[in-house]
Amino acid sequence: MSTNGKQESQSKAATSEGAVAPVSRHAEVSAGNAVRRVASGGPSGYKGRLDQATREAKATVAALAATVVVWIALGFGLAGLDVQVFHTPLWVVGGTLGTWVFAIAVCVFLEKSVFAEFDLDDITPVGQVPVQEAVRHDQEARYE
Amino acid sequence: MNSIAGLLPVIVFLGFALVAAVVARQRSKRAAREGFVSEYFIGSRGLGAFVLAMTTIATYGSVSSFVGGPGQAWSIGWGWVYMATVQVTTLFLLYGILGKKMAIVSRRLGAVTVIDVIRQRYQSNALAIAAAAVMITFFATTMIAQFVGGAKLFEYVTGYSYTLGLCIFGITAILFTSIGGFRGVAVTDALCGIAMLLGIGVLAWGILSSGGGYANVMDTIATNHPEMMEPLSGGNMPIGLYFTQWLLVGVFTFALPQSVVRTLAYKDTKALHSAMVWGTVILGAMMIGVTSLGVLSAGVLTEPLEAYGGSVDNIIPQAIVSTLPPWLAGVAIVGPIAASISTVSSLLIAASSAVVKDLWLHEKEAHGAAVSETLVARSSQIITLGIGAVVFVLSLVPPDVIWRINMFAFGGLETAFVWVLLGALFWKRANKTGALLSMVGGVAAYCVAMAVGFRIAGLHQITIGITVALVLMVVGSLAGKPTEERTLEPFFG
Repeated sequence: MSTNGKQESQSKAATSEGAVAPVSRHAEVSAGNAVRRVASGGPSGYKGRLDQATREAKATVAALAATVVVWIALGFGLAGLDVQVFHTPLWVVGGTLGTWVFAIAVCVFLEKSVFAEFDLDDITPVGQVPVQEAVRHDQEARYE
Repeated sequence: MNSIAGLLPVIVFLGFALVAAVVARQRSKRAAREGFVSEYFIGSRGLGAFVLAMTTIATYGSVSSFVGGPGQAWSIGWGWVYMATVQVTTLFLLYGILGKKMAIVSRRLGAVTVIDVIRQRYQSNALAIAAAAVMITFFATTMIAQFVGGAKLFEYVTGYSYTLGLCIFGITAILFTSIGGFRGVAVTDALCGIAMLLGIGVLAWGILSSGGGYANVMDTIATNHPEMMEPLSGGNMPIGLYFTQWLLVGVFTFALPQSVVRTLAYKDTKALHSAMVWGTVILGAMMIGVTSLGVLSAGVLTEPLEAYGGSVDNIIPQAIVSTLPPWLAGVAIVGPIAASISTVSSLLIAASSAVVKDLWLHEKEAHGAAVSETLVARSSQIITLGIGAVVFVLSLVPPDVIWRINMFAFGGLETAFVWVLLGALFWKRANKTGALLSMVGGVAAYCVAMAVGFRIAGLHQITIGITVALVLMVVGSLAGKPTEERTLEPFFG
């Protein structure tokens, strides 16, 4: 199992799948907006990691929406102003560089406040079910 | 011009890339933990942050980013750069939406391809075959566009023939992909990413020097083409185009299978997070930078388009030739050629995986036939070589306007995979009926609309394809039988 520089000494719990995963030791919760930073170990268990990945995906979509809004505001929103920054229309600077900087800030925010580090190496492969076998299981279930 | 000085930097870079791929392959033989297939097609899930970011960027950034797009910017103005900025979301969407789940699920299943994951989730060989067919078709289209773009650029700048250029970098790219596999591709992608940044820097210097400095260039553009200083570019850049480009090169890029496969290949979550931040920095600099050069070249290339061969694809090559001495021109074209071959190599290895792993090996396993690792290794390299050879031959007669071909392929791939992947990972009710209808029906609708030129409200046909695919996914999934719980377990816990 790979080590994580942030991890302290760990206790381990057997999961229902038989894999052994590090148990999260502590987490900080911001009361105002429920942003969670998970420190050593990350979410525990296979399902816990999947759920965390889903939360991160939703946060990413929200980040996209925010980026779109900023892109519109700093581009089209400033296009009516006859202001130039070093021979360049303000809307160009805002809409391009401004949006880029915002995207970077969003990534840093996601990394520090939403995304969690957790182990991937301990995920026990269960292998792939042959498609025909799955069909037979389906048919058996129907006739039970 | 026929300048050897223009040829030498390209040859040196390609030689370096070939050596790097061979070295990467030798190291990977020693490092392979999960067997040949995993090593050849996803580098045994060993990519660190820097290589992960650079290979994703290099795969995504293609010759149209360096030639076609800036060429359009020369014609349209700063609105095209504003539009190109949407690409800063590409990496964080891919890593944030699919990055973790694909890594978790693929390890759980022992999956080494995107189609592996799709096949397991939907329990459908028909869907897997359809996905492979879509990938191979659109990948081939894109690879041809890349080869053509690179060869045209090479011909224009060096004075040597299109065919010679195609032979030099086309054959090199095919060779290092076949030999190096995914790890070789990832390493050479990192080199290509650096070369792209270098190429942008050199060309920027050339344009600004020739134009008398940034202020003078901008004043020239503002005087000659004041509409280029507005977001709508005097009607040449309608709101509808901004919207559809957001979809095509922004929102739905996370579903491109050649990018998604990279979420199977990173070594740990720390690498993913780091790649997301630094990748966004680098990708933004690259896309905004290179597209801006297109606009700035309008301050140097002030003649009508007809003076430059009548195609916007000639603008950047002309800018290189006009503003740089031969040896620096040779350095500048390394950037777009690197963009071309990095995209080709990634698509080639992904297309090869679709044939070898998703079709051939799966068929063998389904019939209980064992295949030796030696045979798999040899066959993988031969098939990669074979697909590359076919694409090479088809590129010998070049089609026109590279960026449109690229956008066609982008739209087709996004239509095919976006709802299938999102449904697989985030919607339990998604089933094989919905997925099959979505992929086949969506792509059919998209291709027919493109072929007959049908648009709704003047918007790009991606809107038709994506909408049809979504409707079919939902309707088909609700109408079809729910997926078994045990099939869903690896995806939802």
